[in-house]
Amino acid sequence: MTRTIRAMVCIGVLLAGVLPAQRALASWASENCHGESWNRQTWKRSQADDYALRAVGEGYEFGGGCYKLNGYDDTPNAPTDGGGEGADCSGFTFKTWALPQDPGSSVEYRFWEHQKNIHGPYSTWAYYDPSPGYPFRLIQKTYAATAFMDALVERHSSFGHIALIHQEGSSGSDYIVHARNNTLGTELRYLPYRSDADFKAVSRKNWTAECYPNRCG
Amino acid sequence: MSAVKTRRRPIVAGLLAGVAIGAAVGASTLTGASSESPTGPRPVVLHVARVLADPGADLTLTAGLACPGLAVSSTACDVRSAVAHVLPEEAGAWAEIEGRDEGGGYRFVVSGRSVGDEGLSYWLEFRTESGEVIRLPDGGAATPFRVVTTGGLREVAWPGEFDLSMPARTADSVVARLVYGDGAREVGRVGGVGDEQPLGPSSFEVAPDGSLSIADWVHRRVLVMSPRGAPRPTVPLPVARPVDVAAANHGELAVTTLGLGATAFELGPDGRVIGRYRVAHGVAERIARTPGGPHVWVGPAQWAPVRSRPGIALPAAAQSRGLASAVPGRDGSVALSQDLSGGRIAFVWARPDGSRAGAVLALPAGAQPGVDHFVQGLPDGGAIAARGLWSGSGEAVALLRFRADGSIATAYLIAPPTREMDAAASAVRFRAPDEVLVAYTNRKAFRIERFEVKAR
Repeated sequence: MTRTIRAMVCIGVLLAGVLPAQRALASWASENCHGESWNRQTWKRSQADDYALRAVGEGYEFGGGCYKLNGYDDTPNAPTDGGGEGADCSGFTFKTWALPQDPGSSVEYRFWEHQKNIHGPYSTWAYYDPSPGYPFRLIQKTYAATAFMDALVERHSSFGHIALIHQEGSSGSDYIVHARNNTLGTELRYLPYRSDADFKAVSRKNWTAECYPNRCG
Repeated sequence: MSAVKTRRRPIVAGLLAGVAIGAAVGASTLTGASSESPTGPRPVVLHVARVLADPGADLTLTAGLACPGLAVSSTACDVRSAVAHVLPEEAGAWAEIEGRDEGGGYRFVVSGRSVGDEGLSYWLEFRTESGEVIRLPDGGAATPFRVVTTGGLREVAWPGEFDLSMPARTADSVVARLVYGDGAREVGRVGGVGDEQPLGPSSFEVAPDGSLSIADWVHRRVLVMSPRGAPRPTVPLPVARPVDVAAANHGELAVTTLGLGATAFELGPDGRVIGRYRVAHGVAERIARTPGGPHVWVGPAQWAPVRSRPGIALPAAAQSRGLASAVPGRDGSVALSQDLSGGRIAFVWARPDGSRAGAVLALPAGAQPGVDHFVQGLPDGGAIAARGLWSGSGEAVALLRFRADGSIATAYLIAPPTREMDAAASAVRFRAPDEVLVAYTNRKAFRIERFEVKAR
């Protein structure tokens, strides 16, 4: 009898590794992503940084945008566009920068709750080669030219990536926060993107000054 | 009938218990890079440590607190004060330098008056609005970071042609070429859509006997090859995540997961886990084996010990107190490099007799220091160094061979290594006596190329 129970426990352990994942794939986003969004008057780099760091340790989803914020990847093996947890790199940047959904909108800042499942209209193509009307622009890649929450972006014919600077480092590396990939999820790392010739620097336009609402000295 | 019911009940109970255990284990082992501690999330100090400075010149330190996963309303990461405690070697008292908030971290400017010929020591202290005091290193004045100066080092310039957009040197041979796939002698796989999935191995390493270990995280194994690339038995990995790998003779390995909240492992030649150690600080990017056990790179010039004896993890405070700016090589010698202002790089190493040698390399105009691929002292008193360089026009890796007096014997530019390896700083490795092995990839395969860096 004891052997039978042990065997059943083992089978159960194996089943647990498979069954919930299968069930979650179809419904995770629809069950968990009920976030809201609203227009804002201000959005500072420090607020964006706080927003980005809250997602560290969570999942990644190509084309996705929803975080549950429970400290781990809820859908670690979700396939592409499978409705799993997390944003991809460009969606993560869109939400962190509080960009409006419509590039032509007069709205300056729109806050997207982490639980809002939205990617936004910008791919890495857009960040890499922004139109003048977009709410971001290319800047020099030197340490003197960038600040935290600026981004580093690369775009090739078959893939691209965009990552946000959390804290500037040295020798062409920085502490980076980004939606990395399915395996590593959304993470904080020290990476040499700045020194990579493929990467350009891109900055959100019109950050609210850090001193606001006080007078900036 | 009742007997059947009685038999079914434990079976059902067993299944339910198994599902519960499986779900719990799954939730805890599939997590990402959480900085959770037993008492909740704790701030992480992100520091760019300095180990070399010009005497008399201002020295800038940067550091910040990060609280990944914490709610914005939390005060655990709201810094009330950030102070660098600095002790010039010629002085007897610690001075306090208040950090300037730069948004993404604090900047501490040490006046050149405090940077004497003998260097200085420093440690950092953050006080948060929630009342926590966080020191780096944890021991404060008892275990500070040590900065030595470039005083006495030979100043050298890049010899010959220099064009980062057209690295001229090609490899002497290809040591290993592994096609992506699931076969016994294949690695990784072709990734998914866009930036969805990395490709291939996450790291490779050279053992003291010259054999190669390639971390094929996709198949949870380390492929081992002879110095010439012949296959040897694979070693299973204890984790299904990208890792960095460090190898010793006799097949023992150390690996670490990458990023925040990393875990380091020591493995026997058969993959048996000898020790499992939580990396308590910083952002893990690389692991090295030293005579004192494995050390994990947790930030620029910050190597943390993770265990006291095999299988016995070091507590967080002890890891912090043991932070070293460089790890000793297998022969116990230490070598390091550091970017300096004005497009210069300092290289320092210990000669076999224990004396210090080094050089300060002035880069051609427009070139900037890039990834530190480390320095290796040589039996002749010289050293080999590999250093990434970049500019607006391109990037390359400089391979340098120094003589014992710090002069440059040979210098080459080679194409930058693959950026698909997750352990980015491990894409270049040294192999005795004078080889540099570099990882490259294309969309179909991973290969390791060999460059000889001989003195002319």
